Amino acid sequence: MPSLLDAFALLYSTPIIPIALLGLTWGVVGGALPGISASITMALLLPLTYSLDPTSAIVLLASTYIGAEYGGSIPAILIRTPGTNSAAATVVDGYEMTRQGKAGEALGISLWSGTIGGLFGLVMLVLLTEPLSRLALAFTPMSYFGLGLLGLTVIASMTAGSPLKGLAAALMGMMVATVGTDPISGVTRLTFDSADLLSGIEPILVMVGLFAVSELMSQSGTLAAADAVVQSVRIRLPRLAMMKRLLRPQAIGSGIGTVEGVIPGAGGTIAAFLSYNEAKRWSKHPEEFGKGSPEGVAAPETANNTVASTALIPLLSFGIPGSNSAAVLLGGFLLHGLVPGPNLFMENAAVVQGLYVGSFIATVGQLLVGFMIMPVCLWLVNRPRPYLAAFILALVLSGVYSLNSSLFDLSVVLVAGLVGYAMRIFGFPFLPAVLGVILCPLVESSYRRSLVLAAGDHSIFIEDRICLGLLIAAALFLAFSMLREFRAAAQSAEAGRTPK
Amino acid sequence: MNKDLTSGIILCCVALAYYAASRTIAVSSLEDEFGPHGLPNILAIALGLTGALLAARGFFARRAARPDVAAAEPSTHGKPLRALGLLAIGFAYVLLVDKLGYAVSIALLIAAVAWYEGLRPSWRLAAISIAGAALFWLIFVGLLDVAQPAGLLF
Repeated sequence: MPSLLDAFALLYSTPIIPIALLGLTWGVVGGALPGISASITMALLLPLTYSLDPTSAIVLLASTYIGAEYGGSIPAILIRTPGTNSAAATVVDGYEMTRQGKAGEALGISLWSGTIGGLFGLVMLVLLTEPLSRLALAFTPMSYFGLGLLGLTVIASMTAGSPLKGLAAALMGMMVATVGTDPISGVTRLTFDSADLLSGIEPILVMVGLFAVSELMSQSGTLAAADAVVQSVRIRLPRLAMMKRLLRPQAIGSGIGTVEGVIPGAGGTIAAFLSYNEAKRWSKHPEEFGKGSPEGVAAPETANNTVASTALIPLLSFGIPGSNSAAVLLGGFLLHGLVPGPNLFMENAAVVQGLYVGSFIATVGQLLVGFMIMPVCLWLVNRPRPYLAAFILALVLSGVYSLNSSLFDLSVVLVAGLVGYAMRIFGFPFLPAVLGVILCPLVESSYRRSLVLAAGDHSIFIEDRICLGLLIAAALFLAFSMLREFRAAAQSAEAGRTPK
Repeated sequence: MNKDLTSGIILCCVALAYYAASRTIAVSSLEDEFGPHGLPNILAIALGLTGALLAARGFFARRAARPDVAAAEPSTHGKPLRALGLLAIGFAYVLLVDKLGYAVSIALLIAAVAWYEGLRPSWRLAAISIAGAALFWLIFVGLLDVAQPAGLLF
């Protein structure tokens, strides 16, 4: 395990502190802009990390994630519009507090609880990640095949509403990943004689298109009328008595955030709502919830900030991102030729150490940056939205070009945006598609390598115990999701038959 | 047609097109048992089946006059034609940046998007677009040393 001293020695060799604070600031600002989620904030930054060293790039992205989780609560509390999805639960009591003239207090509770949640999540990240990754050392090509398949089925099965759509999205993502040169035989696939497609379509292009461009398209035409005017607000951190009162919801938020962060597909939004409900259930003042309860702000904010760290556990251990933001972070790793998993800890320990230290700095730095950045956030929230859309599109196109100096990449991003927009219209989730693009090469190459090792004998996948266990888990997840789908359909049909 | 039926049909069409394209993958003497076309074939069939199931679900939901859950939700994706217009501005940038150069094109992009999203043309809009272009040029060309297209004009 990377020692604490080694980790902090990085502070001298790499500009982690300014990078972490820069990422944090960008994250808070991006998260504070309604409609710009944490993953979009990160995706916008992703191309810019190309020119940085790997440690700085990963720290920048991770700090952005942390900042965006806090930033999302700012418009949720001030203008009843969550900046990020996971801040939706904060709206309920946060905005009520604003109506009661307690906006500064609500923002202070959000900031304080976010810091507590972030620190707790970071401790969990450091404690759990490496032991889990050691398990992956025993992995064979067969095990990696099972792991990749499990990653795909878990996400496809956890897409609320329609596992079928989740599965279709994952398949489409995998189709994109098959473009380019075949990893085993070297034959070109689906390149249509285009030299630009020979090396395939990079996951980062798909992510930026799906998340950022499709979001701009979704908001098109609704921007001019959406301006909100917010007066100046001063953040007030909770006093000692209030801090004591907030301990219980913060403990609930940390616990739920840890569990939900580790489970792929769950994410900060579910954690925030679950924490809100549980905090209400265990509160001494449940009647205050919905009417401006400080606990109603503390619980979801603690939870979604905890998730910002714990969602990295499956990513760093096995290379399986559990949320959109973790998927974008994985894109950052891949962009720098880093593959999460046990080898990352051995071959690129400095990057992992940097990630831990950078996340710590960003989490603690929230308290300072939160105060300093507030006027900027208020100024931005009050800007005409058309300017924001224009600058975001300019940033996307400039950043993507900087990756490979390729105009073809810009077209790919715009096409991915169009596909993402269609997916939004038809209710298809993005995460399975992104996972399909990322995991497909792992699934395909490990499957084919296994078959080469076993001279074409498929029983090798059952003989490998880890692979067998992962395949059973994948089958269980699929069965569970199908059962849930059938139950929902049956209940819906029953409701349709019931006379009103 | 409800969303499930429409998207199911679209998925079937995508699966067919993908399958047709995957038939053109060359055969190699170096290929393994599964081959480079093994996965594309499986993906095409799986997507076709998924699309068919989705379409069937949409079809029966419509026959049962069950309100489409997705359709009942408030729209979160604006107006498609407007969205396509924004995308067209993006493609226009891709076409022009090689000829006009990065600085001019990015200024035009900012102005065009802001105008398209509802701001009236004004000196203020022009000034902010030029200032924005200068900022982007400073960040990408000056700071990050990224060689953006110079264009034919300069």
